[in-house]
Amino acid sequence: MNRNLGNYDMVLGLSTNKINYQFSKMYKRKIIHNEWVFLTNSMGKEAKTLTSKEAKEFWENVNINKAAYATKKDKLEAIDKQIMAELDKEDWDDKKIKELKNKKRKLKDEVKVLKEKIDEASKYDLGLIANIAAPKIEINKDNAKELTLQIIFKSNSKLFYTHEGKMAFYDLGGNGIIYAFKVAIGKVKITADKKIVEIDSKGIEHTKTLRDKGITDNDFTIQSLFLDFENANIASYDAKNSKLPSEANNNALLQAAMVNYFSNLVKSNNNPYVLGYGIHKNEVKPEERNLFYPTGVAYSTNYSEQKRASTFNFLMLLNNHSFPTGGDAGILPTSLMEYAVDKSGTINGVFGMNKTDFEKNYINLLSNVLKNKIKSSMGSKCKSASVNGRDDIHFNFGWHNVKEGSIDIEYDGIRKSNDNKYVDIIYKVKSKARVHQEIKQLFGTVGVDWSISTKGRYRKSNGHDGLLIVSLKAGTSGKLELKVNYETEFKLGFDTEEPNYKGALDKFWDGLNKILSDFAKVMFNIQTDIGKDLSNLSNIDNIGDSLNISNLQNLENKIILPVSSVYTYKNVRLLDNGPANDPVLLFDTSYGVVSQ
Amino acid sequence: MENNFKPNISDKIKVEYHGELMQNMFSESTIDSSNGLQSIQYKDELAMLFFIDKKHTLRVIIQIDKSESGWSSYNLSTDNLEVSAFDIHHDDKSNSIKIAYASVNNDSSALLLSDEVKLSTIDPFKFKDVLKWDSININNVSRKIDHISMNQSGLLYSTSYLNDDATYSYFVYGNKPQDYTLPENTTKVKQLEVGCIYDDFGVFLLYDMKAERTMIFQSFPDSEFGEANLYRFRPSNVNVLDGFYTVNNADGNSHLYLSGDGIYKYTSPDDDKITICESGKGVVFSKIEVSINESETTIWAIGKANNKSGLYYITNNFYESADKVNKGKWTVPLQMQAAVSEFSSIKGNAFSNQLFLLGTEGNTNSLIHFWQDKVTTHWQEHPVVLQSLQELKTLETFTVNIQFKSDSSMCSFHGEKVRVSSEANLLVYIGSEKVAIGPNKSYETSIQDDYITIVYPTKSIASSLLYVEADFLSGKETIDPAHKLKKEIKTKFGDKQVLKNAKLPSGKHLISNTVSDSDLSAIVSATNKAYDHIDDLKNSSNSAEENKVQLQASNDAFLDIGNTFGDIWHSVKKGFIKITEFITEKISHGIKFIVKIGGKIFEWTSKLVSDVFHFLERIWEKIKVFFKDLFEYLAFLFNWNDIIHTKRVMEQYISNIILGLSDEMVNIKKKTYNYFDEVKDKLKKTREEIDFKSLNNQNLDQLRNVNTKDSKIDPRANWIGKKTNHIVKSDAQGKVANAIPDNVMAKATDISTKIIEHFKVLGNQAATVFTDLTEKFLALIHGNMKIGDFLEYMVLNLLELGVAVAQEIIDLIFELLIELIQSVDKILNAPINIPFFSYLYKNVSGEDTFSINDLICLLMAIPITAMYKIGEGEAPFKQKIEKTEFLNSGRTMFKLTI
Repeated sequence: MNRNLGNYDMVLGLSTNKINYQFSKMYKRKIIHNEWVFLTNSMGKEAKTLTSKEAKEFWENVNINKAAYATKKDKLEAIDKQIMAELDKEDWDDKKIKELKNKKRKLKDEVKVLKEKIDEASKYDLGLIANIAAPKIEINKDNAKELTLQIIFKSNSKLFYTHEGKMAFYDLGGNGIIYAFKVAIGKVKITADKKIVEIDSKGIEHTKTLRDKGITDNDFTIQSLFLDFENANIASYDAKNSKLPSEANNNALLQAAMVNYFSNLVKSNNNPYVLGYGIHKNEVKPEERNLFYPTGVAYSTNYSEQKRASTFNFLMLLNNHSFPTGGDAGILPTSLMEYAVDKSGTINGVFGMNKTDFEKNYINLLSNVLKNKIKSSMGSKCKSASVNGRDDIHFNFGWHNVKEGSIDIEYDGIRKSNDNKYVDIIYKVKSKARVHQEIKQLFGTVGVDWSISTKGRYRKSNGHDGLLIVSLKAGTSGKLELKVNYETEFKLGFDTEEPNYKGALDKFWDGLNKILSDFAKVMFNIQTDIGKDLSNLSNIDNIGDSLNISNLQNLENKIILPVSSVYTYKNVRLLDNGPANDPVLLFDTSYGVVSQ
Repeated sequence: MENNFKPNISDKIKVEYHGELMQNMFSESTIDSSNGLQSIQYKDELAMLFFIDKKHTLRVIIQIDKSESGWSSYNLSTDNLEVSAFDIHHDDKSNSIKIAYASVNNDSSALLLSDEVKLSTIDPFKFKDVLKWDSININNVSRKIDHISMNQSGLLYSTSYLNDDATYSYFVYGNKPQDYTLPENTTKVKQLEVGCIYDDFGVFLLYDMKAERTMIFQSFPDSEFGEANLYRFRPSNVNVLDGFYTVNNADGNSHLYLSGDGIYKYTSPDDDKITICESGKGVVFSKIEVSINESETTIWAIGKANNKSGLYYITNNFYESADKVNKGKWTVPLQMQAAVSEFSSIKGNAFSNQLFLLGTEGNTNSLIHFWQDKVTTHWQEHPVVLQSLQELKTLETFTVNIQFKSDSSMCSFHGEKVRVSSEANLLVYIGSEKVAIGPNKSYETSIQDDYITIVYPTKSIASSLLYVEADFLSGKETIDPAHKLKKEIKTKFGDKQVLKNAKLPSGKHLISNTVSDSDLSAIVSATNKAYDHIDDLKNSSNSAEENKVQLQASNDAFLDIGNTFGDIWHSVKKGFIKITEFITEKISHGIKFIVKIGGKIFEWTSKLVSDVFHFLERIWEKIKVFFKDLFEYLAFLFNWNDIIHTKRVMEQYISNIILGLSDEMVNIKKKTYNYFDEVKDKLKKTREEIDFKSLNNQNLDQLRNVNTKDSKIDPRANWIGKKTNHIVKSDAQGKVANAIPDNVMAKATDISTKIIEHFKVLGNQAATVFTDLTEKFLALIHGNMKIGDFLEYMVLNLLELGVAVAQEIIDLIFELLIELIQSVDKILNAPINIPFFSYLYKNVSGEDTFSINDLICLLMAIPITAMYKIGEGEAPFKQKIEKTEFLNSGRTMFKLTI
């Protein structure tokens, strides 16, 4: 939960400029059709979407059928009259009667068919055959939970209706007529097993299941977003923001058309789409489960004055955290795109991850990998190695005159680097040990024990912590690249002014000064020896390789970042001075689906 | 007068020829190239190659028909620049070219773009001068440009900088470059091209990320939104991507061919990919080139297997029965070459496939011209060579000398024109020029004396027929360069005992003793059968134009190779495919060959005799007799040890001649004194008495005429042929003049001054006579005058002057003569440098210097050794007695036989 991320764990802010661009591309490729055609009923009971050819036929037939019906009916009457007339005759012509009767039967059938058609058609007395431009979305400056989907009409768009039984139409003219839809994206949630939308009907809140499948990579594609935006369960006709023709009468008809159309769409389960069709899109083949796979997804928006920086946000939760509640849930204080490093057209989104969640999930893996590598480098002098709950690495080491030696490589946080391409993961290297020397005297030996550590400062020794830095860089396909640098060597010093003597008499031995250098040598040896193990890490090509540990996969080959089949990541950096004091790891992203 | 000697048809001219399988030498060097090979066809069937050589200079090599090596080379960039990338754009329709290259100088990059040059009108020798360069203003000169890609409208390049992300830039010709970033943190772009997806222009990029690569298409930001479109391509389960190629569809959109662990084609991001070659076959493909001709697609690729790189060939021209069946099925990649790191392909009319290859360490040549003859579908390779007077290449060849004779009338053939063409498309040397000839392409050459020489480099004992036509010939004469060879093969390979006992010149057995007896019998019978077929072919109507090669599968075999006969054959020959069984069968329209490859049976028919030999060669390879063994066994090889031995003998011989002359001078001097004493009284009588002519009238020139008329056309003896041009063109003669030792000149000047003093009395006349005498003496040395004549001339001239010659003068003259004779030795042995021969001599003899004497003796030794060997079976002068006798004869050549 991170305030900078609207109380969510991870957010991918996708530039709405990019979304609109994609819509225009989909439109050019005719994935989004340039026609919008439907039939509806002024009583609000029916709605039907169809192709423009079908619709044109329908409306033409309204008049044609009516006329034909009338004509046929007349003909029927005429034939009846003829039959009557014939029957009235004294010696009626059987053949002629038969002929007439056949004609009558045929006509009757035709009339029946026409009647059916007309009845059918009377179901719909209102319809739209429109040419539209590429749909666009607009971010609402004051409302992060809604956005507007605009459908702009082009010339030759017509509103059809039946007037006094006849077909009539109104040319919408395409004079800047815009249909706007309020898309309540804030009401959509995707969980591990379904996708729902919150509906507020008559004051009672309940959820409607849109889909019985949980989160997939597809949910992050722009085509999928388009489907959501035109889903009548999520979008609703926004009369206020639509720009319709001024003539009152036609306005009312138009309003009726839209409202009725919508209410019927909502009822339909398999085609709730405003434009009348779902987009047949290629399923994005998901790759293996990445480390930070979201367990919950919600949406919001951010408005920004900066060019291309207004975003549509994918809000994500990790580790089954529950959706945040409260008024500011999902509302980011600033659009993440404003933090983009690469301001060119290559980058169209920014991904942010809560630093704490990153540490909790990733650092532990990293510490374990480092532990394994250092352990194998130390070889036999390593007595034991472990990683604790704070992700610190602990080694016990020793050799013949060095006892109780330990190295603590403590995780010390993530730090910004000078380069916007890296962040540094800091480990402090601390150490302590007890050095034992048996010094030969004329009779027997003197036993000397001295404690040394990185805190030791006595006897002009200068113990200090070392620094091991792991630089993290965005790799390909959601992976992270690691580079280790043993930046500062640790140094040991004497913990006490005087050592401990084995025996009481040994205290009086005065050869200490002579052997100070021996102790110093031992300290130096430990430093260099273990220092070598630490600096060996810099030379390994694939640092993320863990050795023979089956449950820890190769760390650099592991897919860490989410939805890498749809987005690329680069330029990792730490935002620690955002509007809220809640550090976030940021990546520039680019929208590009992988063709496998 | 001339017309009487000009040959014409009614003269019934006879054409005789003598063809040999033998080594031949050419003063050529191969190209030491580095990377980035591109090739275009600039005129007719001629190619132009561009690459960056090992010294980081941009070079162009132009194929020039009818030149000595066939190629000519220039540097396009200056020496101080390090060229980091280049590209060319060749517009096929207008046949014009644009070149761009990037260079680094002192850590600063520059990009140069040339103007458009029309190739059909240029003089290839002046190509470099025609190019004009524009310097492009790039935005950041500290970044290195590592790839350039040009197309019709603009230029694309990628840059890198240490520790920084790679970028790419593009400009339309005439505009300023725009820089673009990549969607990931990558340090290096591997390859980039401009392309189009869904009607958006953009760039295809393959770039490096740690341990893997990403393939993307990123469009240029559009004008309305400022956004770019990104598509990524990653075939599932493929870990290695190494190269790509784009082909434009009819609607302008690009199709992407991606190579790595397998080869895949993407027609658009939304469509499923097409797998051309599956992954997991052990070969990783890097560079690929795709060419599409209507429905026929051909792919060439560099593939690496087991750390060895090679060239592979894949096509959708799938042969399943007699006809080409295009079922959209791809052949399995067929390996055609080993140890190749780069290539570039161009189309040609005579070639169904033509490529230029860059060889790596496993390959002996650096730049290779590799092409498939459309007619026979056979593959040929030739190294691209430049004329180099400092280097020598030895090639295995068929060398043919064709002689024109007329029994009935006296004709002079010298200078007459003949046209040479061939059964298949070949590259041959005629005269001193390398030319391309084919069934529809002939080359006109002039006859020298009465013969022409054609050298036909070969890597196989099968040869294509040559044809000769002329105005004075009634029809097309067919020349078979291997006619003699074929007879030899029949005797040597058609008999089991002969074959078993066959030995190479080195002493090793031709057939190793691991070969079983039954195999040997099988081989022998196959050979004999093949010869029966050849006879059949010769008897039946044999049109060499159309070779109906049909590749068929037999009933129970599933053919998944599907290549043409020539392709498979080439691959078999290179050792990439192993044949397990061979059968031949005579059918009505030719011969049917049946082989088994890996359990599958292939059969095809052919009418060409050369195909029978190709077949036989594959059979012999089964018993480990390869072309190089055949060549060693059957071909005429220059045994340089023997030749040098002969040459040394000749050298001593000449030395002895000169010494003999020198020795004899004393006697001649004495004789002359005596003579003059007598002459003083009896002037006239001496004319009759002394017959200097009884002196052994030899001149040096006769030594040279060892060649009989016949041996003149034996290529082994006449191997020098046109190479004499080197001598004529060289400045050796000037050098010889400079070689006259100074002290001799001094002495000569000294003596002549003294003589002139004496003769001053006599005035100019005397001086003229003396000058004239010196000239005549030189003529003697050059062999244009007999020694007897010279002495007579000298004496008589002096006599005719009516000069009472003082003893002193005679002394002086003889002093000079002796000096000069001795200096001849020095002159002959002064070191000189003649192209080709210097190198050849130093190479084969191991000596450091090369002199005129060496040249003359070598020129004599080669034919002498060859002919002697042919006649006597061993090299001359091997027997001590024979050698001593010969040498002594030189010493006594000039002995006065009075």
